Amino acid sequence: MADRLGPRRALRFAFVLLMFLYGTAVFAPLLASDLPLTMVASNERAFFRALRTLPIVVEEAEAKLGEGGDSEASVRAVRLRFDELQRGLEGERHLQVEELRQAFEMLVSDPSASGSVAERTAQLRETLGLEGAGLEDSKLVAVRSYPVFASLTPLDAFWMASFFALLFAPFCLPRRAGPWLLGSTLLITLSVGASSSFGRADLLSGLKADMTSGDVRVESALFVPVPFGFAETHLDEGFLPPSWARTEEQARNDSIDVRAGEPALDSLQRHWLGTDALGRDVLSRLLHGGRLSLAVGLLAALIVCVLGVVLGTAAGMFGGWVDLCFLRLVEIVQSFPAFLLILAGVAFIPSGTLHPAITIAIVIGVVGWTEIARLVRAELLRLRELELATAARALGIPPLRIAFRHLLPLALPPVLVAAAFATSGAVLTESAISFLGFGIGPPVPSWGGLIAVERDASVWWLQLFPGLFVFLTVLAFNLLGEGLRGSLRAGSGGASAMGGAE
Amino acid sequence: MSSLLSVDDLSVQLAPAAGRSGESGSIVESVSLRIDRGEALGLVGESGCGKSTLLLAVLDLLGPEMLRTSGEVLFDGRNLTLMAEAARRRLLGNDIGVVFQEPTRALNPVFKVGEQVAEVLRCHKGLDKRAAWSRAVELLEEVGIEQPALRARDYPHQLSGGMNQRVVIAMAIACSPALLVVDEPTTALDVTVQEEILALFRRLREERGMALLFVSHDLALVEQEVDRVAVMYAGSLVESAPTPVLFASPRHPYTRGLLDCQPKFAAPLTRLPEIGGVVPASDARPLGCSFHPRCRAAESRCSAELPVLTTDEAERTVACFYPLGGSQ
Repeated sequence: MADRLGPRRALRFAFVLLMFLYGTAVFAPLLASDLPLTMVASNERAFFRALRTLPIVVEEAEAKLGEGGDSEASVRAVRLRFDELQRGLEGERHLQVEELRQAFEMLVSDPSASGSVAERTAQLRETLGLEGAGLEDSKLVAVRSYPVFASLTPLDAFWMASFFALLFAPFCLPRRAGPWLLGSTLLITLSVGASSSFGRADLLSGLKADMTSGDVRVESALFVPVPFGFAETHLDEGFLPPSWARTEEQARNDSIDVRAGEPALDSLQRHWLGTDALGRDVLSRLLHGGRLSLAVGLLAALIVCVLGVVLGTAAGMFGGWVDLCFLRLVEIVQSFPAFLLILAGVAFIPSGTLHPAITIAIVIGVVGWTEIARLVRAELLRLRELELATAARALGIPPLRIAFRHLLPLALPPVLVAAAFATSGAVLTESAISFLGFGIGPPVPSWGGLIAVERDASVWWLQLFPGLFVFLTVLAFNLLGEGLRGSLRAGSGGASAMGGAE
Repeated sequence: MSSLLSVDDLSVQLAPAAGRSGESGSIVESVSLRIDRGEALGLVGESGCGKSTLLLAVLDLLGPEMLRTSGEVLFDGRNLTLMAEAARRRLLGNDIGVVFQEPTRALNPVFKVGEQVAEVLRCHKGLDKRAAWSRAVELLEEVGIEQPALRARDYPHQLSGGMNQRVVIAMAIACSPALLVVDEPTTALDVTVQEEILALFRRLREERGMALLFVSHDLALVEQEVDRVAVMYAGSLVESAPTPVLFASPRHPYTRGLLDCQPKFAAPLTRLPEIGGVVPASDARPLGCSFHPRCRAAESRCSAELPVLTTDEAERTVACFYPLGGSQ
């Protein structure tokens, strides 16, 4: 395909495709989430819970301060209770926390103030609206909050920022764009892989239910484009086909309740790509699933490259018994069917020690380094005979430094090409592992896992769309590899300078 | 005067490898050389006579396919051949600078030339990045590169061959070595640039008092540059003498032949004399004097016995049974 396209267009196509795929992965929480981007709302449940505790705390304070005068211990005990209460309320941000704090400070830390303890607590009760009728709605203030952004980990935010940086780097840094591009891509990989945002999104997932039931009183809310969480189930909505392929009666099912922020049942926006057995939105799961699949792909390719380059360089440069051990090791690893070895590896690493995505990436990396290592070894065998290697040795530069600093950069072009193919292979392998059920399990989505959920052809949307995303990723990386190969070959200016033997 | 570099009875053979049977001849056969402090020695010979191999063997840079079978190399009284790897590395680049034939091949295409000069300084002098860079720029200026700060940021392919050779020389002299070894430094350059580079060597030697080992196939070139010339043929030294003596009255027929091959501007245009045949391969050397099949003065003894180097006058050695007498 790249032959038809030509290397430049293949690269451009791959770049756009990868940017799209990684963009959706990095920005998945802003694209599909059961949390609103922003809302003005008051959390009645939290408010009432706080109010139920408040009188008890105040009574306790009254008792403690009354009996022991202003003794240090009792003040500290009361302060502890208040801190606890305050912390509980601060998360909700719907009560006037500042007011509470001030009243409390007056109560404890102003013994010289006029009035006895009883008077002061009475004043506190008044401030907090605990007198008379007790719980007043007037104290419930609707506050603007940003649940999606609150649920982002710092890492998530960092990746989003670096994605933009990566996107615009070629325009800002025309000369040093190459290394920058490479570096930030790797960083994005690592971060997406390492970010544990999957747990976080579920933490706040009760919010939508509360909004629907009225526990959270909403004045206004703005949801993300796909207002479904990747783990949000709609048990009455199982196996719904994509909205555009839906029959009239499927679209008008009265038994389905529409939650806060969700599009109407018969609207086109409701489940663009259908739902799975538990009524989870496939599009949302696809977008979030990409985070894992792509991260595993890149992380595995990174491990493959690092292992391959280091071992291959050492073997190629030093020869002798180092090379001998290297070759035997390569043969041992290669004599096993790679996929079975990976499955065995994943099965043997006890779950729970590492994030499953990292486990899979490591296993793929440890099994798959041989090809690149042999490539690098062959390159180094050629390069170390070049005059520049002899010249470097004649200048007394240590062999390790010659190998890794002087010769390795010359061996990198083919490694770059191989790395692109390794990435597509890793994405495919991860999908296969998850498809077989050894990989990342539900509720965390990954593309392979999504396909595996239902293998019945009648629910085609569950296989087609995840499969399409896997296909696009593999296509993008293969195009990247082909394009790199083509343009590195075309740019033979460097190659001829490398020794003229090309 | 104590010699700076002395090579004693150095021989190099092809390493015995699987699939190659039989005894292979020596590529370099018991060569002895001596360079005094500040002296310039020229090593000349046809292509394939083992000059470059000798050089690599002296610096202990032979590849795995070649093996030093005998001999020792003393540099400044220290035995290079017995030295530990790390100690030898400290010596190379620091006390001995090397310039190779093809500057574009000796330089790394993916690094700026300034970085490559700085790399030597960082390895040997332990300078930090910035100090090494500024010193590299000074060195580039010293080897006659104009606008050195600007050129230091260029990659080798952006510079001409002559400029690149200057960069290589800057790398070789970066640590002020006592001995500069140059292997056909001007062969890849055109004639005008060649003259500039030679002038640079002369200037550097004057300024720094470096000894020079100048390897070349070009006798005319060597004549202007060195104090003493050693002529190599088929892996062995055949004659060695102070430059004026050797050029005035060569004693070995091979040297004579080489000198005759030089075009002379004063002489009328005639067909240039040549030495018939080629240098025999290392595994196909004839018995006796290895030059005898091509030698016009060869007698039966030449094909039976091996002539040894004899010092017949002061500072003049020749390996021939029938050395040419006087000037002709």
